[in-house]
Amino acid sequence: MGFLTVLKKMRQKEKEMRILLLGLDNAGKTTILKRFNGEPIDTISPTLGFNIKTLEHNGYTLNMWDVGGQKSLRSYWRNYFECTDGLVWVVDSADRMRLESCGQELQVLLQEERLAGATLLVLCNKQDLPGALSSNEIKEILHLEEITTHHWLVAGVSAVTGEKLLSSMDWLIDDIAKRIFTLD
Amino acid sequence: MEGDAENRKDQVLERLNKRNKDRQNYLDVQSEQRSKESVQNEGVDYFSQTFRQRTIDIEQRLKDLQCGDAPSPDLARNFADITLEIQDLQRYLTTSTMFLSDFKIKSCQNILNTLTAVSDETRQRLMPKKKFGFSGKKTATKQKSIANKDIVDSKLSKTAEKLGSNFSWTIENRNNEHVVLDSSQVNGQDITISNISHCLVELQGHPGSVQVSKASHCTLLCGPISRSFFAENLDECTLSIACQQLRLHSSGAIRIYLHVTCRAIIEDCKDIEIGEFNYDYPELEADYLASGLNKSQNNYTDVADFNWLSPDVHSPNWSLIKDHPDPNWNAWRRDFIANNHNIGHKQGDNVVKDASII
Repeated sequence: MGFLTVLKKMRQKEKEMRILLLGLDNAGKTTILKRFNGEPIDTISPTLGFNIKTLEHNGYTLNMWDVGGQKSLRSYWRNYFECTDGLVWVVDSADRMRLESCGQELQVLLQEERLAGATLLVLCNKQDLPGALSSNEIKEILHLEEITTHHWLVAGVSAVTGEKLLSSMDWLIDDIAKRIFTLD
Repeated sequence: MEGDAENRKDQVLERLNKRNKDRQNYLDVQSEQRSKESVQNEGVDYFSQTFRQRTIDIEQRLKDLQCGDAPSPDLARNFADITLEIQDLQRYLTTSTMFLSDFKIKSCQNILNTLTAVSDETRQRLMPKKKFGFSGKKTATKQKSIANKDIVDSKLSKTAEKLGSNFSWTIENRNNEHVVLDSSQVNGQDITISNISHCLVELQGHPGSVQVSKASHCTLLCGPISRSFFAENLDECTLSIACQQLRLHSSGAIRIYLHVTCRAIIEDCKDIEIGEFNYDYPELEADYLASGLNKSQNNYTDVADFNWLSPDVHSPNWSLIKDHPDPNWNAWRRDFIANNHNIGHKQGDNVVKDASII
């Protein structure tokens, strides 16, 4: 019985994924997390520190880490890199002023060794705003085509309306699952 | 003597045997129970049966809701219950994945997804108010955008132009100017301001968001901002801002008259003074409505300083304005124009106020 319990625990552990949500401040990381988890999103304020949510999706247990994006917090991002299966990079599609620094921060992350195996999902958030850039435009500005080190996908989403959010998260989970659970 | 010892030995042996038997019985019963349980609860058949039964239950409840005409408070509770049940079922599926086949997991997940979709759809139909789960805020914005269709259209073409070239600022490189943008230039737009000094900037409308980079010795007066106000590198400025969220970075000697419905944060800032919002212009009330900001909720006293994480000691970087009368912006404007009369004051080219939002 003891051995079985250990086996069971190991199988359960295998169904776990660790997903890191990063991006500049006000990109909508916490809103995406809450929307994905089905929580109300009307009282969200800037994240001082981080949020962790564990949720069940498509038979997997997802550990979602949402770390604040303010400048003074970015130096702490590295503390969360270890054992990350998926990286979700959230972009404020309406914030033209800071798209350049958004791209620079992403490039720094992609060179990080501890994120080398992680799948990258770029979410162009706030597509519901009239001034939002499309995911294609953001793909160009962030030079995503040049990424060869990671599996990646760019998607235009809206955390407020929920548009395309689920389908792109499904892609992320599928991609991770293919990579690490091939024995199933 | 010997018989006595023999007798005692027998007794002890008997007791030992009895204890051993009890123990074995107990173990047998337990292991039997355990195997029964695990077979019952972890069998694929048992799972399919339970899963199907629970699916049918939820479907039945949804159908009842669709046919019946329960009053809305009951509806809300019913939907909450159903959501909980679906979540419960999802959890059951997840914990059972280890003994189910891939196909079974996938098909069960599909059933769950359909259930969620049907539940959402029914909820939307029966309780249209709660459409997406957020308050009246967005509906207000939507009504506005329909009412202002013409403006939005013209702005859209402008954005299209913008896309071709690089990013361009709404207001940039101004010195000693009085800049006024009216509702037609401001409403629902993302206003960006860069590199201004000794200016008085007034945004009389409800922008979607406002971003300011580099300003010194300026005054910025702004109507209700639907989303966020973001500013960096300000120096000796006075702001009057109503917004959902305020973020101020790398700035010093700033006085803010603030209405914030969510929260204000500062980072790398010094000498920030905060008071209550008091900018006023004729359409302010209507703009509050159109922006979706809650006028009765103002969290201006609760500022988070990202460089000061101690909850016990107040941050030295910001304080509330005390013993200082609220500024009179009309007098402020007169003084400004008088001091800058030789440079003149620039009004936006489109002075016709947008009547459709009032």
